[in-house]
Amino acid sequence: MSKLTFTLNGKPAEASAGETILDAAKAAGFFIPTFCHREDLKPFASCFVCAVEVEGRRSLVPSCSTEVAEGMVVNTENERVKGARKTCLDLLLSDHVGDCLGPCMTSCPAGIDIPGFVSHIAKGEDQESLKLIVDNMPLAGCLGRVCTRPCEEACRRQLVEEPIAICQLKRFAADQAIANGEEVEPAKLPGIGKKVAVVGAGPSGLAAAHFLLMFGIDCTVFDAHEAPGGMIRYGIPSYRLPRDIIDGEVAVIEKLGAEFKYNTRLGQDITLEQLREEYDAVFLGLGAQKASGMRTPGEDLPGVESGIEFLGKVSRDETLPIGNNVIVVGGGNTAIDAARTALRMGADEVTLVYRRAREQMPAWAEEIDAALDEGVKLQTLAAPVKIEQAGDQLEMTCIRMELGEPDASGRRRPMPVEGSEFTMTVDNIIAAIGQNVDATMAPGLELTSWGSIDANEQTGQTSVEDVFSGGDCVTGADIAVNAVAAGRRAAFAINQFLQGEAVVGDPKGYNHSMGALDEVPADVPAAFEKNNRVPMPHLDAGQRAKTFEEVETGFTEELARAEAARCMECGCRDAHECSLRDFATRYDARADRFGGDRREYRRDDSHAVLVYEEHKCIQCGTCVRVCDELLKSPCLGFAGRGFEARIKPALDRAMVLIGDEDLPSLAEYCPVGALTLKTDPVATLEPEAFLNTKED
Amino acid sequence: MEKFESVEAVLDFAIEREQEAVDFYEGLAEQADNAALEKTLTAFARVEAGHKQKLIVAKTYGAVVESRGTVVDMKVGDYLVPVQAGPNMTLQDALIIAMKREKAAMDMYTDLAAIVDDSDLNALFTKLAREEATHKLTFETSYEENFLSEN
Ligand SMILES: Cc1cc2nc3c(=O)[nH]c(=O)nc-3n(C[C@H](O)[C@H](O)[C@H](O)COP(=O)(O)OP(=O)(O)OC[C@H]3O[C@@H](n4cnc5c(N)ncnc54)[C@H](O)[C@@H]3O)c2cc1C
Ligand code: SF4
Ligand code: SF4
Ligand code: SF4
Repeated sequence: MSKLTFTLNGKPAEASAGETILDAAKAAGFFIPTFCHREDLKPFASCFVCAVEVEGRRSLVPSCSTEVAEGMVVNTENERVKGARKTCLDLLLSDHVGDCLGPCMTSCPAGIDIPGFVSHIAKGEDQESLKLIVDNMPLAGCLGRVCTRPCEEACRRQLVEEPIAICQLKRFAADQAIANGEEVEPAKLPGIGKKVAVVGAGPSGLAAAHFLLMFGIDCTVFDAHEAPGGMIRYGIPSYRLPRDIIDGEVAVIEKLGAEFKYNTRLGQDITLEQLREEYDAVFLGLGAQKASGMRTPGEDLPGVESGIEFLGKVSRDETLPIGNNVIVVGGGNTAIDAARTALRMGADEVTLVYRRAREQMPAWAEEIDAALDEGVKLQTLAAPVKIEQAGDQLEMTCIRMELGEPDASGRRRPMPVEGSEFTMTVDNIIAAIGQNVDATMAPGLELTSWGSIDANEQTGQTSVEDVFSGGDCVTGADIAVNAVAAGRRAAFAINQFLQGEAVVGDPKGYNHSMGALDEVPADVPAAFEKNNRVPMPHLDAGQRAKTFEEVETGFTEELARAEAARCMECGCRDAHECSLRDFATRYDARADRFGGDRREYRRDDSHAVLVYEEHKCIQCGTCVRVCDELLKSPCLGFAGRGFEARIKPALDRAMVLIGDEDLPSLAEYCPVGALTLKTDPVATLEPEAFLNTKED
Repeated sequence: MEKFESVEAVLDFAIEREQEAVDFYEGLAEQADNAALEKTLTAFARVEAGHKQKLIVAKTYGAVVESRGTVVDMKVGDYLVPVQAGPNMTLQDALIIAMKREKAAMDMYTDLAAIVDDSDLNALFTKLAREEATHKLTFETSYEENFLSEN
């Protein structure tokens, strides 16, 4: 057959007579998006995302239905074409209603597949559940106990009654493996012959090592302490996180291939320069190890120490002596941990002194309640002014505070009340008022004015290209899951760096969301019956206040299955195949560019096998044409026109005309998640999802 | 109070103090090892240079030194142990130094206001004291947000 010659993106190209631009460009290796074009269906030219530029034509033309002509000059990827595609996608997204991934997943800094692992638990598949977690996050049992649960804040189930106990279910999955003596190993790629030094065996360093090893990169982890965990061992007390849980989960990383070198301090036993010479890259997860001083006179007296010093000592020796009467200064989680620990060490009276009101305490409300239940006293609106020796004891002078008028930012700041000083005589004073980063042992790196390491947010790369960093030493004292997420991102970036690829971290694809809780259509929660969250069993306050036994005892199997069954499985069944999501990622499309009304949420569940979600339909007409042209059963059609067009009639009525065996194909033809099979699970990360993408 | 016989003389005095503040923060910046902290301190110096500029304008045009409303005194820095500047100082140290410095300036103008008889001068000193209180509040707010968040 004679060939036509034409110009494609500035280069000579060939096409057969009658061949469309779309097919010719595809054959030449160019990507052109399309929703409505199918090789086995007649061209429809309705979606317009396949539009390309043909020189000499005023407007762009649909490449799926325009044939190549001799001498034609075609551009399929210039700025004009890309801009038009983006606009087209922005328009489609502007009234689209759906969640690609559940809001819990997108709120989890580590991005674990929450609906996926929860649904495994509901079905009794605990090992599969844990596998799904560990491929995307190390330390499941640790985080399952101490995470501050940003995912639960976003959980849709609150619209019915209360959020799913995501975190405690994660702990359940991890505990089940221990109880059943099963080992769940993360996936691992073959070695690439590179090695990385990780400094810091806290959550960030452990996460970095975990993922580096999964990528096939050797790791040596150095830590100044004698054991791993960082602040989750030397800060968080054992009644919240038993040490064998940390040890067990670090053992998984060791089994993956990490070599641990404890009692080795950067800046003393090893230098950054040495590590850079010996290893292909370095990850610094140094944490925020320095306690912020109160800076009040008398702070240096014996008997006064910082919260992390105290907790660190207790972590090493839970029989340390402490006085009867203890003051803890501060209102954060460290202060609460120190106060509850002081009780367990035998103190009779522990008082928390905090300069603001209780509502302003940054500690978790549940933790404050637990401390008060155990007998910790609270002295709010008081600030220490000085500490003096009083015989064997310490006398702390405090001044009463009152909350001032709201300032420009609306905050009511505490102000001292003149002449309101009062004193308290105690045996020990623990100042738990925050931590700072000290990164001076890693010279040559740019720091922020806070003294923390200046690193790229997405990649953790520092001002020195082969040195990466993450966790508290970059953000300042923060939470464990953010440290884990930072270690994970840095591992991706280090892998890219070592493979000579662009260093981008772990970029996320487009995610469509129904929005904040108050933006979710009322029909979504209305489909579920009320069924309250299963409370976490725990030891009574009387039982626990004097021992380091774990306070929260964990879900039984029965409770865990019941709790997991509450999950609404938010997320789209099509998230990993959806063309709209794929193109939105490629062209950086946005849902908020064109305002206007969103579609109504209309879910047609009437059919036994298929679900039709009208709010996700982009009216590409593919399903109508499949019925017409392939199934020869004109059972579906459009009602209305233009933007208002909707697929009709209801599925139960339409589908009686089609044989059941053809139904699955109908769902496959839909380019988005508007027509799906009820049997498909909602969007989950496939196990080992990121390893698979790498192998692409 | 011969030294302060006129509004102009008072303004000259205040302008000199602001220049001293500029020099002081520039000096601190030079001492800091951490480049980012050095920048922050240089920014403090620039703010002081702005204050000086404002006073020069007031003096040249005989304009009123603007300072409205009451300024809260959080007294954040008042109870803290003074710190020594040095290469290893942290942002926390720098803020303590700054709070204490601004408090000293505020106290100085308040004291001067108390001892001058002339009502114009009294009003001017009061306003200058309030200006310094505003500067102090800026540092206090920053300290409270960054270093007293858990306290
Ligand atoms: C008392 C307390 C309670 C907390 N409670 C919670 C909680 O309930 N939930 C939550 O999510 N988060 C909590 N956190 C915060 C959480 O523990 C931290 O955010 C997290 O541990 C930070 O991880 P990281 O890896 O960045 O640093 P870290 O955990 O601090 O680990 C840093 C590691 O680096 C090592 N290191 C430092 N310098 C050197 C050096 N020069 N050479 C060699 N090794 C070095 C340290 O020994 C340490 O092991 C708490 C923190 C404290 C202090
Ligand atoms: S149809 Fe596509 S874009 Fe819409 S929610 Fe589902 S995956 Fe996301
Ligand atoms: S109901 Fe389930 S899927 Fe939905 S947000 Fe909550 S945990 Fe996630
Ligand atoms: S339901 Fe039909 S018209 Fe709507 S997006 Fe899917 S295939 Fe296209």
